[in-house]
Amino acid sequence: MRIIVTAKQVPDPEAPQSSFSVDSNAKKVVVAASVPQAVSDYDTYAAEAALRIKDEVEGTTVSVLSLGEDHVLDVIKRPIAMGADELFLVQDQDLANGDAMAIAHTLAAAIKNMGEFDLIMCGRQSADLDQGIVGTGLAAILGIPVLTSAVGVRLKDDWIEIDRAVEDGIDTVAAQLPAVVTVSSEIGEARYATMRGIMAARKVQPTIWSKSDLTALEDSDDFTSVVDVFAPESESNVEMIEGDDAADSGRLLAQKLREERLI
Amino acid sequence: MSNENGILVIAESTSEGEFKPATAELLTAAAGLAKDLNEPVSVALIGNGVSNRSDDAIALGADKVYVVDDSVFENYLNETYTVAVAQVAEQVNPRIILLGHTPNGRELGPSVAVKLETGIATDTTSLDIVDGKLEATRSLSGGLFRQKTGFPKFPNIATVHPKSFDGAEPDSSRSGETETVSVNVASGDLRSRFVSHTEAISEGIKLEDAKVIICGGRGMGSKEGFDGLYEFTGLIGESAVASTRAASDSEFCGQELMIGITGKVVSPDVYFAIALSGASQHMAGCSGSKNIIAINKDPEANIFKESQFGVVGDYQAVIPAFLDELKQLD
Ligand SMILES: Cc1cc2nc3c(=O)[nH]c(=O)nc-3n(C[C@H](O)[C@H](O)[C@H](O)COP(=O)(O)OP(=O)(O)OC[C@H]3O[C@@H](n4cnc5c(N)ncnc54)[C@H](O)[C@@H]3O)c2cc1C
Repeated sequence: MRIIVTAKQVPDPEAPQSSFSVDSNAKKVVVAASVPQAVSDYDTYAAEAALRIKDEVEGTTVSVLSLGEDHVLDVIKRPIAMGADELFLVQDQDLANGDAMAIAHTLAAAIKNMGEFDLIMCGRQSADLDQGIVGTGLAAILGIPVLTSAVGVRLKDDWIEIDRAVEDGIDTVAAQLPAVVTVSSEIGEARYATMRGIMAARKVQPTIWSKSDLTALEDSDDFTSVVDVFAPESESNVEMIEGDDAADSGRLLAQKLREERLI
Repeated sequence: MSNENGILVIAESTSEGEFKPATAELLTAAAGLAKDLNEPVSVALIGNGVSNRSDDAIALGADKVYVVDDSVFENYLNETYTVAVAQVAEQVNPRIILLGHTPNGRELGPSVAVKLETGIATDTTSLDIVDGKLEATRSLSGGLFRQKTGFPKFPNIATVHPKSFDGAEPDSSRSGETETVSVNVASGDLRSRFVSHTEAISEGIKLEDAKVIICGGRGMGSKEGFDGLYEFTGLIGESAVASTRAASDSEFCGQELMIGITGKVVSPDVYFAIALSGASQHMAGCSGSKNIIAINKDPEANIFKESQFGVVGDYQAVIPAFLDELKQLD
């Protein structure tokens, strides 16, 4: 069985908030150079979910596919160091507007280049743009079923079954392979790269494509446009409650909240 | 296609056969856009045994309801619902399609967009009409920034962040039309299926319904420390305990208590943010709260910038005194 995991490289989304700002002329978010790159959070959980299947089903190959402007090999190889087998990179200098549907079309064309597969696993959304479109869009473009935001994944013969969190509990749904599954962080901790994994990853040579190598990719217009990017207005008007010590502050807080009829 | 007209709202129902809160919120949003455009609001009502709820949709603001009622739609499934929505959309030819940014809406929206060969903006918090087209504002970078999205193609599709609009109030004097649409989905051809639903067992009041939420973060330090938060719920009515992703991942509590971009979106009257730093991905789930009250030992913690009241201190000293004082005041 072959599983394709899509992985996006992003600036560490948990870097201090002060390292992110907006360039309103360029209509994009600017990140301080000190912020390290990372594999988008939910994509590492997608890799984890794929590797759990690999642990269980002998002969499973996990192929990682990433589309990006400036891949840092040590970063984007993390899923390989975790245990995935091969790496495909599509390099494109024109992703700035982040049109998710166009990205889904490019990934779909790359997947056609990659050959046979049984399952595609994506993070439920990227950690920088948070759109949550690519996985579902990919399935629709490839004409295969999609199940999203998995918090549990089970392979059952040629069906993939997942649990997904809904408002009032958990829905269990299943799709026949080939299918796309998007994964949420609730599936549980993503494994660390082992020393052996890191050594093995060093030896893996990525297959690198540019958009012109993707023969299945048709020219298309943009599906959305970025009109503006801005920081929301925020003004802090916190009232600090300060007693003689922490316990005293706690008492004063209780009195204050009662006074204000908040509790 | 041309001559696009009006706004199509994709309704969602609960298992009890009522509209989800998101649907009433979408109808408020749609009413505003419809007024600007001077065009009608339609609702797609999809399910099994839903025909009799068409009047409820009209009371909430629909001018026309398109009912797709068949046992194959008993449970939401991306594969079947995409076909139903696309077919209604082809019939209505709307300018704008709105879905809730709910677990199902955020999955359905992109599938419908591909099917209709158009674009979509997800998790939007405000919607405007500019030159007859939608401009949708959504959050970026885990909630730190906003992006205004424009649409070169029709229909313009958006999923709307929960609680961004007040829910429409039903007005039974409103009138509207109902049309039944028959959608053919051959169940034998389906490549996916609904297996089962497991209802969450929640002790006490549900997070979405709570007036007061007590949220504990990684700084609670242990499950025992976290469990201490349940003492609040005994003293404060209509209250419930919640967590950050770091607290859930540390197994202080279950994942179903998580608030944020990954977890639930809530907007209680009072939100206690205890030993949590106030990361943007967390705030995306609670910034609609009327009052945030922060307790954190780090005076520089971001959460204080987002709060009405704050106490700097170790929660282990602050909270027992706070709860004792509350009991005294009762
Ligand atoms: C894609 C993505 C999605 C995410 N989704 C979510 C989400 O849905 N929900 C979510 O919550 N997070 C989410 N996160 C994680 C988020 O970025 C933060 O890492 C997380 O919210 C931090 O949780 P925390 O505030 O509990 O922990 P920390 O950031 O570690 O903060 C702990 C705080 O506790 C304080 N503290 C420690 N000890 C004490 C004490 N004894 N008394 C008082 N204060 C104390 C510290 O000063 C500190 O401010 C997401 C991250 C990514 C990248």
